[in-house]
Amino acid sequence: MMLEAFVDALYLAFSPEVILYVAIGVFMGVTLGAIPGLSGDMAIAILLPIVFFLEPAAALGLLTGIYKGGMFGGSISAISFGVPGTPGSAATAIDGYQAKLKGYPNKALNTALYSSVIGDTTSDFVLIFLALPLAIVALTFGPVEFFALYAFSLLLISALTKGKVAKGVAMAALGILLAMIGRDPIGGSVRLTFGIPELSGGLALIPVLVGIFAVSELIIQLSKAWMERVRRIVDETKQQAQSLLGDYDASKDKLTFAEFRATMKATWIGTTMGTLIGALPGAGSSLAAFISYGLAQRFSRHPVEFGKGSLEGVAAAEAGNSATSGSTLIPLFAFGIPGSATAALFGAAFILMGMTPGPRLIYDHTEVIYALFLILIYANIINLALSHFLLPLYSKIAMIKSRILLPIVCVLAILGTFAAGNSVIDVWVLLFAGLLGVVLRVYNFPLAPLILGFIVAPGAERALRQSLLIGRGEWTHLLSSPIAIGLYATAAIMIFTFTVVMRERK
Amino acid sequence: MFNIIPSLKGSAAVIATAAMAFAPALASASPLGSDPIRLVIPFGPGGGSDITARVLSATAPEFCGPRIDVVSMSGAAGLEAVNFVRNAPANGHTLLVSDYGPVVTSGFLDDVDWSHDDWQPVMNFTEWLPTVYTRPDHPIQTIEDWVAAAEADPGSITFGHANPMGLVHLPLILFEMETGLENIHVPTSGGGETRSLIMGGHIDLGMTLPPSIASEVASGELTALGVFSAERSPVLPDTRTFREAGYDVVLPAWLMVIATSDVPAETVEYLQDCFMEALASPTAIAMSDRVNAGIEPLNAADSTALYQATVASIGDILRSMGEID
Amino acid sequence: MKNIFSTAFTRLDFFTGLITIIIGVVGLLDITYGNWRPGPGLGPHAFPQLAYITLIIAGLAIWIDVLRGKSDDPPENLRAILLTGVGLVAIGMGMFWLIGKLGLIVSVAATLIGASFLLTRHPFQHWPSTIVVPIIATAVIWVLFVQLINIPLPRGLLF
Repeated sequence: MMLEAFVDALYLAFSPEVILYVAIGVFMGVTLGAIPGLSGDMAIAILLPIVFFLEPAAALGLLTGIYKGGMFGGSISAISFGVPGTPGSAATAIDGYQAKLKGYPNKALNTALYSSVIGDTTSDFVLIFLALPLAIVALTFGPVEFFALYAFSLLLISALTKGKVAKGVAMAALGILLAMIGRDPIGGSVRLTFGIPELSGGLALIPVLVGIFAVSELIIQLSKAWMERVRRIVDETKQQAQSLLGDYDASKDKLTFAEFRATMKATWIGTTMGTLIGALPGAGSSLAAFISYGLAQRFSRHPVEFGKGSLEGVAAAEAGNSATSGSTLIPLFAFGIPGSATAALFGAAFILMGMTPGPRLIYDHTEVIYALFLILIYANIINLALSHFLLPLYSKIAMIKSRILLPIVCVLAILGTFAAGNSVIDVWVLLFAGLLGVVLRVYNFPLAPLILGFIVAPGAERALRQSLLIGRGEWTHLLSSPIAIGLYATAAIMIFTFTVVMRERK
Repeated sequence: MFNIIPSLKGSAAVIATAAMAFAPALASASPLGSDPIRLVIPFGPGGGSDITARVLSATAPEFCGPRIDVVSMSGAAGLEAVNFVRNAPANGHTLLVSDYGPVVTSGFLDDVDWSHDDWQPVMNFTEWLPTVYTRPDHPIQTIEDWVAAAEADPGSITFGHANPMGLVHLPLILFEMETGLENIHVPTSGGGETRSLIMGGHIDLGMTLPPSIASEVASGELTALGVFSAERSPVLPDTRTFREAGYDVVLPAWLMVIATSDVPAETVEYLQDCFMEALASPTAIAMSDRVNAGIEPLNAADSTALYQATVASIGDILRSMGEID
Repeated sequence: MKNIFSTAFTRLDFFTGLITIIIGVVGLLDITYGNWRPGPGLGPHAFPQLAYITLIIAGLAIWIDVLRGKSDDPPENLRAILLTGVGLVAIGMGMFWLIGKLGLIVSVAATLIGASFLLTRHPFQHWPSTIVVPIIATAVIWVLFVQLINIPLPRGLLF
């Protein structure tokens, strides 16, 4: 019976039509993901009605392809322009863009691709073979445990401050404040909107993230292009050669096997954290990327390189981001709980096909789910192959003269951000976040802690206040769970050992 | 991206193409142009409203003429979607698909420049019946258990619900006002979080809408205590209503297609007719069954009565809570 | 030591620290005297309050760094960068407004061509990159956003 279903699933998954749809999906995902603001999620939302018109396996293949392609696509623009294409790739931009400025974009892109595919594939295997045990662990995470996790992740801020601890902490506080704008998630009253009713829904993640990281970078690059035009410092011939890539020597920019092996530790840290955090309902891929990045720096042999173009940094962030892709479906498959926006969309796709997400899914629709599992695995191979082919092509786009390319990227970022939420306010938020990002950049404030604060604060606040409500206002309730105590203890040990180790290294 | 579908392979594409070919003949008789109709939902994609609206968008073009797009605008807690529909030309091409939260409740609580009379229902899809549920190994398994436990130790039972003052929170407030019981309200980020907190044993009870728990209740993985409605839910036939248990608390949530009141009456009538016709088609019924949407359409007149009744009852609740005067 | 104290006020980070502290203090005053509704479980003001206190502490830490002689140098081309920023925000808002008036194709093409003319020294000599590329880009953007995604933008008079 099982075997029979598996053979049927093989036929379903490897039919030429389905393979074609997966490939189309990957292509669309990589391309859309590379455009700031647009992400795989948005493309899936738009293509959702297609499940009415396609066979289930083909529809799931298309959606899976988009999702996986989008996961990696975001890192293309993150590395090429310092402009993260998706929220998950913000952490990739930190080191990826520095690597590009140092003249090895190709190494960074390939590192990102390999770590992304390794993380993703591992996460898919975990979904297929360990879904139930991991889902049960995920259920033990209540408000108390989530608050401990968020507190733990704030501890990793120091990895993102580039040696400017005081300014980094200030930025984290600012990120928390930005996240507080809008409706109080517990009481429902409106706060910090400065009398603007449109802000009552709060600031969305995509415009803030793309604005702070990407638009500010674009503004600085545009101002450079403008200076070259006005001051005529650079003579005509030199300006011709000055593309976004500067003095670029392609022959030196090939990822060697030794370099690839050196990033493996970071990749596995990212893969583990991404898979675990992805399985927790509500935590999200950008948080996974930042935590992976922070931990990889802590455990790296070259922690000083982080933030200066470290391939390990790229690998950890990208593996952490992509490793959420399989495990984010775990709560959906095990209990019918959509743990992320993506999982909610896959859940909707199942419902539209007449399949109720939950533990019965695999028994009621064995062939389709087995086929989906097979597609999840081989879509990674298609992603790897297709992206290998696409990367040189997209790198050529990055070679277009900045004075022509920058305005196009700006317009894409504006329209892409609008399309992500169909919101005009998001566009205003994007532009003003860009302006804020520029001000912070020129005064040497590190931006990554701000984003971490912004990502962590809503969940941390909800978890803390839920815990206190459930514990009837007793703060000791926060220590009522062994998992929470474990997380706090790990944090304390990490602070202790690393301060000692760091001192000895100096 | 809906318009690329005819170019795709598959049997359904034939239907879609046929619909496109059929469209011009109908369009001449309609007060609508050939521009697409937008169904704007004030929530994120993938939820119950989105799925229900997509049943309409997939079936109605054949009957209405133009293509229909579902657009999700969750910005500003849904107010952006409401404003978008309000500011669009009043030609019936931009419609809101919403429950009472973003229109009725927001109309009372938020600082908006419209009133409840600025909207007219085109039709109603369905009535969602808020349902209290828990895990099967929890000591509370019935409405009576809940009341007894809450009376024995007031303020000890934790109750999870999505956004405060929303349609899975107001019935709890109403129930507490009726009975004088006290529970600890634990707001969550949505139905998914409520459910994982219940299944993980972090809170006692929660509220949701029947389609999302129907199959788990049937297989015994969750227990539904009671439904805040006059009649039992068709997907939860064994779950009693609170009225049956002796508590007259009824607060169902509808999902309506709503137009601004300045859309001409003949346009609204045309839309009502073609939407109702589309939802009565075998394809739509099959689709509705498949997605568990429970679509039982009401025409514009009945929907308007329901709308006005909801405005009155939500107003009463908010007044007695002291939120408005 | 005296020397450091006397020059501290001229350092850039003295001012960034000051602004950080001011934001924190103003925020705390707002929480104390502003219109904050109470709410269940600590109330809506608890997390903002924590953030404001953190800002003040961080601002003081920035000052301590200044006294230790650690201060970042003022950026080069500060004014040009900030002007570009304001300019981009203005152009972005303008483009969005224009889309509502003239339509997406005209607005995006005008923005892109305008921008490349601004940034290129002899725009007409380089017409393939200042005119042709923006038009191709506009076409791609139109296909992607209008034909495929069909974003709900306000409709303009032209295209």
